[in-house]
Amino acid sequence: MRTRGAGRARWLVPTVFWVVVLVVWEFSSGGNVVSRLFFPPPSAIASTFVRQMRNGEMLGHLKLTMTRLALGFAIGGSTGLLLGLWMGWSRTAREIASPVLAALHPLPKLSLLPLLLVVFGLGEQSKVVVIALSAFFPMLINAMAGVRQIDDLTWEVAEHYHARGMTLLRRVILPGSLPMVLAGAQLALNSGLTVTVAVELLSAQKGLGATLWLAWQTLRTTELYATLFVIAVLGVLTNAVLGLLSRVLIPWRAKGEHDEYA
Amino acid sequence: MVALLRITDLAKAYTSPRGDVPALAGMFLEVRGDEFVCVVGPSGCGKSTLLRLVAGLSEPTEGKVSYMNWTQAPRRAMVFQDPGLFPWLSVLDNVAFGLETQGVARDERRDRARELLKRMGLESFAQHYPHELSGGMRQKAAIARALVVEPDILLMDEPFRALDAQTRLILQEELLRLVEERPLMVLFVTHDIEEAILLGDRVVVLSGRPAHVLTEVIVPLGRPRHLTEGSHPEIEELRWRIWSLLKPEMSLAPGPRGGGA
Amino acid sequence: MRLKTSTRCMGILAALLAPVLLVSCSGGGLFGKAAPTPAPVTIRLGLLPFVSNTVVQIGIDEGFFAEQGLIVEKTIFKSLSEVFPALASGQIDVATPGSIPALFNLMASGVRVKMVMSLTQHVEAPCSYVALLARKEDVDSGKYADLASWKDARFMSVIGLTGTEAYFLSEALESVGLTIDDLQMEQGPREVHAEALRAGQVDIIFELEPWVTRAQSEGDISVLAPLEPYAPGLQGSTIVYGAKLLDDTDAGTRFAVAYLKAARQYAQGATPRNVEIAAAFSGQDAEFIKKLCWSYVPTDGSLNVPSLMAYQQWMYERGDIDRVMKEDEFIDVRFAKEAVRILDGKDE
Repeated sequence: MRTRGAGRARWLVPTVFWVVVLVVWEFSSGGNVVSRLFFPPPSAIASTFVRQMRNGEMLGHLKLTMTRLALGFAIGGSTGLLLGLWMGWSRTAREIASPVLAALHPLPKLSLLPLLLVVFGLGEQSKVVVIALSAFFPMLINAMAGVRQIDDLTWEVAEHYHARGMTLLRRVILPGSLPMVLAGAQLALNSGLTVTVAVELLSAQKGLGATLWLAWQTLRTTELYATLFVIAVLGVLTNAVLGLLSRVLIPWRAKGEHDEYA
Repeated sequence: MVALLRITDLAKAYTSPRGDVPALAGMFLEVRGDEFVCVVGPSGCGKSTLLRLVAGLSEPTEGKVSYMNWTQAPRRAMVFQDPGLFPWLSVLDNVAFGLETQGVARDERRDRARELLKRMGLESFAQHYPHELSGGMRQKAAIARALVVEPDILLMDEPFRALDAQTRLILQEELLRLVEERPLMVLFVTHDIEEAILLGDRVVVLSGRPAHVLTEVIVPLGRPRHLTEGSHPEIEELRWRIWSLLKPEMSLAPGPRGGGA
Repeated sequence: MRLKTSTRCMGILAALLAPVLLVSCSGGGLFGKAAPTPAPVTIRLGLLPFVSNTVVQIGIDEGFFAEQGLIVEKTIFKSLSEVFPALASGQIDVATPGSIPALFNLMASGVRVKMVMSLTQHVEAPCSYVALLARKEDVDSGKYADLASWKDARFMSVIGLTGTEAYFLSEALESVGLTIDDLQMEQGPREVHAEALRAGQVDIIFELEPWVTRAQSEGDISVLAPLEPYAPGLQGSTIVYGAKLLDDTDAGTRFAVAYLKAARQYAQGATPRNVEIAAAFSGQDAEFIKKLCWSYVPTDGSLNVPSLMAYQQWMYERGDIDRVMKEDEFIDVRFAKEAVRILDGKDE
């Protein structure tokens, strides 16, 4: 158990550090026109942020981006999970699907966007499909690896006690692969967020990515930074939620092992 | 008519890139339904292979394992060298796992598992995860998982190998007590001659690879047995007899050392 | 050591030869009253991979910059967003941006960047550089001939329609009392516009060259309306100087001379040599380049200032820019004027 004083000190040092960084930034960016334009002081960014939050503009974009991300992640993540578990469990499935997946995985999903626009139309569908694709692969690969890293003894015990079907899935495959699956979910969410913003940069009128694009079109850098800040917070929050989820879902893990998700 | 496990001309070879590696060859063995038989042999000689064949976890290359005079097919349960508990299940659910796969209803299997844990002094750890238990308790839980299915044949593959001396002694006593409470056949593989003598009614000595039975030794100790009662001179003598049989096999034993394959 | 010595020797050799080469290439008389051997100046140039930027490439390939004693270091940018930070921070000295709000906000912020010469202007011509396109049958049947009927059509443009593109459309709609917001506007990357039109997902697409020509290549899409008439002569892209050239009148003028020579060669149109340079520069097929509508580039570099002022006002009203600048705040015509005087050998 840590003492109270130590707990406070752990917060204090990073807080002071970042406050100093912000203050230095604030007072050094007034220097010349160019640096003020491209690195506006935090106070200017903050006031733009507050204004955009007040008039509801930013929340509207945020909501849209999160909806796209959630849909894409749900669709891509769940198919990736199912296929990954199956491929981890069945050698035949692995042999059939691996070469195709190995070929498709490294393709930049964004480059498929124009193609998908033709197939799925101009609306939300094509965007969500690209996001889903970007979430699909990390999920699939981690789920597959998760099943495959279940140790031989565990399989042997399961076989010895004639576990099969749902019991095998529920008692061995799902819990055994869960830590890797959650790590995969984290990768999928991060890659999904990146691609969501990129898709919006390319082809959306609204959403955080579209806001970034517009900020560059008008060179309003405080709007750019305010939006980047929101995206960063969104990233931190999704990771924090997953970290929490992994604590709840993997209670059998020794304490220290959770840190990687935090 | 006595229930028997009969091993006839059993052989097993593993395929490897450099050709077949024989683990067992020409093995004959008979074990009675209420007998505690310990199997010793040089490390890497194929002791574990023998257990895996009896457990049905692998198929023999030649020969067969047959069961005579049983009222029904004998139920086998194995205790592995590492406990092999599922880290994501509580001790209770781990112990009940064998019942779950048999389709026993949740409440019943939990009752039975809890009852067994109680008999083994583990009931206060029922809701713990394996990583919260000591090595000895984990192995005890693994034994409970095997016993809960009320097996006719208990197969044990060096189950106490990784434990410290005191814990091993406690678990050995515990095992003897459990076996004496409810007689069943135990096939106990170990590399420890003393352990074999202390636990078994009979010690089967295997040759180096490919393994076959060199000799069998009857242990002149009655039951119930108490390991802490003091030493018996005949045990010392037995130990040296088995050692003198094994020693030449050790130096002759070909193939990789370690981990009983 | 040996390497160093030989490099130095080559350097000396080059330095000795350069004036000789320059004089022999320039055909004499070109420098007029200017110093006979100007010191070589390195100009860092940021280009965009558009066909219009071929003008500058002609200057490079034909040696017009070299004969002015300029060493050109060229960087091709993928998008305008990357050009402005590079220009503002002095990593490039010259750029060829389109007239998007960012350029005006950059100049209004006080960063030393100004428009000095015209690149493209959207003049009315037999072919159209900025146009609305529709399915051929709709064009032939005159379905959308009346601008007021556009209200019921589904449009498609690029994402976040801003800048001169939006201005053209807005001016066209104003003639019938509509605004962009009255249109049903889909937005998507240019690559999918024609397909969406063919598939019937939209009815009218809004294009710039080379997409105007590309969309028509199959014969099933035609120009519905050229947009030039709605903002005739609108200033498109411009030659923009950063601080270095704005403060170095001599080098700035030499750059302008070379650029205008190139503009004059470009004005000859799709000559084999121009097509060759344009094809190599833009990575397009030479046959395709020949079919394109070559944008108008004034040979005297003059900017259409009234159009820029009107356009600025429009952007300001839309909220795209923070303030409307006065002419001398963002335009510097000294270089173009001096270069024309040098090239045409006439006095002011």
